[in-house]
Amino acid sequence: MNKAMLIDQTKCIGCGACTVECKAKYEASYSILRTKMLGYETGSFPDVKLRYKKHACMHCFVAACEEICPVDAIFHVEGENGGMVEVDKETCIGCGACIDACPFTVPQLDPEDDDNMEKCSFCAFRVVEGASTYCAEACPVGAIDFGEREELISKGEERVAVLREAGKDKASLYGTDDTGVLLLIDEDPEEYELAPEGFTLSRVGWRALNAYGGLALAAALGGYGYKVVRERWEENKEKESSTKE
Amino acid sequence: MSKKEEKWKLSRRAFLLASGAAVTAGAASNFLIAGCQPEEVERDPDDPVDEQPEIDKTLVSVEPEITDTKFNFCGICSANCAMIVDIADDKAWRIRGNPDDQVAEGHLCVKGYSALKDLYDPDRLKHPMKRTNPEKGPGVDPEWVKIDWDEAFELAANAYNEAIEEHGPQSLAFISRGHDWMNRLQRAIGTPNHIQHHSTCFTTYTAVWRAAMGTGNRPFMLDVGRAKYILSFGWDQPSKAKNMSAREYVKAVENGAKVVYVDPRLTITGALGGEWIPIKPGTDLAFMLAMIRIIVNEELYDKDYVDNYTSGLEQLAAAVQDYTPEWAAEITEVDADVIERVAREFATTKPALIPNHKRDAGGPNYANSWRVAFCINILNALVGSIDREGGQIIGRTPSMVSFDDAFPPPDYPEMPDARIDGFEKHPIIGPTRRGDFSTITEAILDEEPYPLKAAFIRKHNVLAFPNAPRFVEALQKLDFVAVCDVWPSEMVQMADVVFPEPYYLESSGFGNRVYHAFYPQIALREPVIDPLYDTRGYGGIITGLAQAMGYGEYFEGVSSGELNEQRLEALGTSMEELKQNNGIWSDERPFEGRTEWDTPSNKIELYSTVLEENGYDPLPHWQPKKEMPTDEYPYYMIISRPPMHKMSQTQNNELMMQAYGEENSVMLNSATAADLGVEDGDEVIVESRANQVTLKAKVMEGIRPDTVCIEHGFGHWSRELTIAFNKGANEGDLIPTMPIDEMLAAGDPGAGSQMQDFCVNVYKA
Repeated sequence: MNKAMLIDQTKCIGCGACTVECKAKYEASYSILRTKMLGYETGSFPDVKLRYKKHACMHCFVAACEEICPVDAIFHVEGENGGMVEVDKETCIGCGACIDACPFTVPQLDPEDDDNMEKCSFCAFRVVEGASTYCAEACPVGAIDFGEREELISKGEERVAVLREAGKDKASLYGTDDTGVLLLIDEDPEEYELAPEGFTLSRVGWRALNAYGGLALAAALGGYGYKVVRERWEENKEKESSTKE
Repeated sequence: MSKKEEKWKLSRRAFLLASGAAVTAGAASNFLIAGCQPEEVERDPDDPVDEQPEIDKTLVSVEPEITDTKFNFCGICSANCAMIVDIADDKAWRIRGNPDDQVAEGHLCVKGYSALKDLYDPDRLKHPMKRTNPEKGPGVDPEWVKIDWDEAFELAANAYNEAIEEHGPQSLAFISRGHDWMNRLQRAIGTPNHIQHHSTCFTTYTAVWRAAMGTGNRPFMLDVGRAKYILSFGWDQPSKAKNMSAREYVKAVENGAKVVYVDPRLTITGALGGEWIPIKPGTDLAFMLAMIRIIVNEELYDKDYVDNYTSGLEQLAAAVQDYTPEWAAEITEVDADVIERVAREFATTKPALIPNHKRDAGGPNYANSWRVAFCINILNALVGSIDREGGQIIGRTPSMVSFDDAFPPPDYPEMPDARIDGFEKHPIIGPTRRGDFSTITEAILDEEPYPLKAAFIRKHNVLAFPNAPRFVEALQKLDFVAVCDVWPSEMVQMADVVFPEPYYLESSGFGNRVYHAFYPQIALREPVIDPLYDTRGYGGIITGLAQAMGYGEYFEGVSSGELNEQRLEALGTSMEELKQNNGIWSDERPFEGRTEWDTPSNKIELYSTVLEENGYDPLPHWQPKKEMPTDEYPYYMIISRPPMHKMSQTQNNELMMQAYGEENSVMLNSATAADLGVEDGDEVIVESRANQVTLKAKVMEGIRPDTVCIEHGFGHWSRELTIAFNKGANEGDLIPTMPIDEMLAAGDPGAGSQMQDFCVNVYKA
């Protein structure tokens, strides 16, 4: 992936400008936020830390959601400025397998849109044409940088060095090997509910195993995988009808 | 069969076929959901395996073709960030910050980005209406009937003229922000009663600023971005997403500025900055007095600045000698050595700044807030930060041709002095005629000093008043109320006649950068689309009302178009030039710090002769906040505002409500919650001597155990606000109102509403 977003959580004020601009532009359904702010408070009074994380699709190079999707509705966008993870909503069956597979718990099913999976698209249609993402353009404090991946990695690493110099030992640039989105953080990744670095392949396998109670077993039993997916679908349908009531 | 079911059936068949192929081929995938062979499947040998539908990898654009671009500036807060609005097929599609505007610098805050949802909100007021149900209040359907503008003006004019004839002009009050047209009608009628929200917002600060600096300019401009030491006593604009404050603050932090955040609650401002000092509510004054003592005694102040541009250092030094760090430590619950360290760091790191904005820090929170504001001025002056880079700046806002110069008025009648809210009794802030939200309620109910019979109200919402339910009772006592608004707010629910206004994106005018002007600049506002509904601008509504009431002569020849032209001409520009220059006119010039002040001594007065002449303490002294925790009300109460919302104006915007999470909550320290047997998400009742509210508890660490916090803007009861209705609760219901005697006894030159100077009890619902 040649392009990237560098999100500097040490500059983020958690205002939700990215959330709102994204939702407005994509006209997402009421319950859907393709990107949102999550706040993390750690420690206990009076030694308390507070940070926000811009929570959205990380655009993994090896994407668990893509691997697990039973109908191959999830794909990496091709082309020079491609590489982001997208979903074909015509093909999506709303089974929710991707939700459990995602190491970042990002995908959502949109009850107002036929239960299709909804998530950040890295503004793929803009980025492949050479433009930026809506959230990066919106951020009023410059916490979201969009640009050439290599340049952003250098820039992020320089900032990490500055932060470490200033005594923030845990400052790091997250995602340099795995994801299209880079997060600049100054606490351990776990504090931000982020998978440990280098999660991709192993993480994918682990999550899938977790979600489906033993894949080897599933394979051996035959039909089990189908059953799980089917159950998930029924569950979602139930949820939807109860919301409508 | 639904579309989803069809898709499911198709997909199921496809992946079963595919899986059959996989098994046949002996490929062992790691992700074998599709790799299983369900028993019930009967494979049709004629079905080719590659029948799995090709997925569509076409990227769908959500962007329409932009057909036009318009200029406007945000009307949500008074920062007025300049906007560029992209139009597609007569519909506003996107709002961007104007890069040529020194306030916006190309970006907007979350509220600005959400504005198109407001513009196209189907709940907006669409035409004039009259009430047919004489009963008024929460839960009552006004039974609106659509009327035309002439009938609306006639109904209002008859009601107002009747009140004036029977009870005198003072029986009519205008509750509205200051506005040239409105102020002219008010003076033509001869009522002294023009009431604005400022006593709940910033008058504590502006009163002492006017006294110590002599400038009428608003003290809202901060050069936070260039500060190297930011000492915030509850200044929290970054976490409230004030566009330029957040941007400049993050810039300062990125550049390594040291930040000390002194507040009973930790917010992102304090968290990004580094050091949080959880001071006891209402005791900032003690911390500041001890700082002044250290800085003066150790001669750490900026000698050049203090010698040349301030007066009264000796009196100041004598006044603060009792305020030792140990004394302050006992009051504030902050260690004495921390206070000493902060004082020394603040005085020796340059540029250093104690920022302040309205209700933050020196705003009307407590009975002693005006003294806090006074100390902020003094401390900033001692370190040489007033009107200097990295400090508090006196905005270079361009002056505009005044309304009266453009359209000289006929003579006005005599106006009685006595106001319904007693605001004329405050010698310094009284002449600004800003009015008082906290005293008006009891004055109307008690009919003291006289009965108020009617009100003309614009936009201010019921929820903005201290003890809102009590203010509703006051409104119920009036014979007639007309309300101008964009939305069917709670105030509109109390109206007899409603005048619908356009949203700001449908109107025109100029913004003169009152919050952030390093150099003179104005931004253009032009309608970005044709008005959606049968609305009229405020000036037009006032003119129509004035004509119907018989005051038409005051508005002969008056037009906003003419006023705009005169203003542009005086600045040496024109509408065409503005449009060519991205909607911005600037007179860029290098920043030069001010060397003279408009006080009696031409200096910043550390010993304020203006306060003294007007009967106030001319020096900073300790005064505790008014109400302390008791057995009945054991907790301090603080009020904040979330980044997504502007007071009570933005809750009907679904973008904001979703981004925020719909309901406000009661923030409690985990230790307090444990004491109360409350868990996160439990419903709790918060009770003050004025009222009570029920909300869910948010259990956290970043707040003092003796303090609870609620965010403002929620608890809408107008059923016509379909998104905001019944979400959360209004913490303003808890704020006690004040009779005028109680207000005067506080001795606050700014007549602040003491919005947090009460204590509460909290218990599980």
